[in-house]
Amino acid sequence: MASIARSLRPAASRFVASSSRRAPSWRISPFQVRSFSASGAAQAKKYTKDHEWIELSEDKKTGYIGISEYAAHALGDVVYVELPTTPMEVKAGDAIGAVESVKSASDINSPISGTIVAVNELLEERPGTINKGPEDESSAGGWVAKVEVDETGVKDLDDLMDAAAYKEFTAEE
Amino acid sequence: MLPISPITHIRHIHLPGITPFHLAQAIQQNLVTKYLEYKALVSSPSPPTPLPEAPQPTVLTFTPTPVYTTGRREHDTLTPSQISLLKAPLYALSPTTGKEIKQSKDPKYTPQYAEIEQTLRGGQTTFHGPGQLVVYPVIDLRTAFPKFPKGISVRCYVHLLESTTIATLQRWSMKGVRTENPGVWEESGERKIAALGVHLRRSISSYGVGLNIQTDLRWFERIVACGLVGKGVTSMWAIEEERGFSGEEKFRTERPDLWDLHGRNYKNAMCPDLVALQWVEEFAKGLYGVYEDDKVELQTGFIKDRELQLKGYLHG
Repeated sequence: MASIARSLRPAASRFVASSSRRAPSWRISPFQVRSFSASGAAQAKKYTKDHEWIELSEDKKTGYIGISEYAAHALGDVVYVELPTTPMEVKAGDAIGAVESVKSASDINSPISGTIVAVNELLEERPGTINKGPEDESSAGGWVAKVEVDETGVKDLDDLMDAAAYKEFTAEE
Repeated sequence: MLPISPITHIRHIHLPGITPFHLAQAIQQNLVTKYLEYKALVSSPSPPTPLPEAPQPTVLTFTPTPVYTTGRREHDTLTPSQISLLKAPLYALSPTTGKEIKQSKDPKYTPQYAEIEQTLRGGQTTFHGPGQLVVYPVIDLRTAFPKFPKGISVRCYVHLLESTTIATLQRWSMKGVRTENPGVWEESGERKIAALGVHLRRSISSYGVGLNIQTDLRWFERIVACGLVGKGVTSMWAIEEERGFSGEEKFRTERPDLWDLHGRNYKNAMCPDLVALQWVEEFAKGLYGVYEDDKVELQTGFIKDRELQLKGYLHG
């Protein structure tokens, strides 16, 4: 039952800790907002077999996590997104939340090791945003979490698929 | 890339009688964990050769002690007054007057109490308890089945749980329908007969269906089942009562073997043990296209020395 308790943790402490998430430290300032077209400086996006994506910043210190276009389409209308509390240390494959549609809740896993430092609060009020732009990391997009990455996390990227490999992977499903 | 190996048959674990809900949950968790461990092993950088055998797709069926379960999005949202309402005793009804028996020394009139449990499934608060069949298929949706050669999408899986339940009701000449709301509803679409809620972790399914067979429907008066205001709840037995037991004659003539097996009593025959077998047979049909005895391996579970013991039988 340990794993149940562990995966319940984000939800159970979510309400208590939600105020800390509103800490100004990560508030998106106009300078930080990156539009899709300007994201060329970022590292190449990588995908997991469980349909999460991660895209690291140029300095490889932070990254955005979300679910793929393919997954969002397969799930259909998302009615609820469970977000992690921050900060939260995670290993690759750890559950960091869940996305719920048609009475099914699917876990969202962290693609790499790191520390979740921010979440996309927009998804709490408007979970459908994840359908509109699941791979959009702008302030109006459907990204899920922002992660701080260390060396292990950067190394974890090697185990993930690039866009071409992921496309091939989903074509087989 | 993982090779997808076609699964040839599924395992049905049925827990007869009434099982404490937390125990059934622990058994399900154990099944899920085995799957996840296997998945982690085969996708590790250096998987062992030869690969160990994949866990068998399993359907766990049982009838639990009374419990209200909350879905994922409702954790910690119950107010103290809601909790005390859900935990209030449910009194037995007098067979003669139909009134609640609040004070009686007769053990058969002991009031029942429900627990409240948080679960990781989708959907909202529902009730599980005596008279209800709970079905938890634990399968890897990213597995090839004859009817799903490329694996099962989340939406197809929910659809499969519904169509399996509808086919099971059909065996009792009852019509179940889908509405715009998930779950399975009786013909008019106004009353729900089976609730549905699923959790997926790395494409391994858990939780599933709660089908009301002879559930005491008073339990549902305390909740707005699945968040739908103005909709009701029903059970197979309630439908049978409403149609004047027209299903009894049919059952007796078509299945004299089952009629005898259940003491020639229709109310005994319409039980979770039998409906569970039917449900899993229909589920196997949904996955394999046909049902054959060798597609389902039935194991009946019982608890001994705090551990689950399994006895094997052939289905059918």
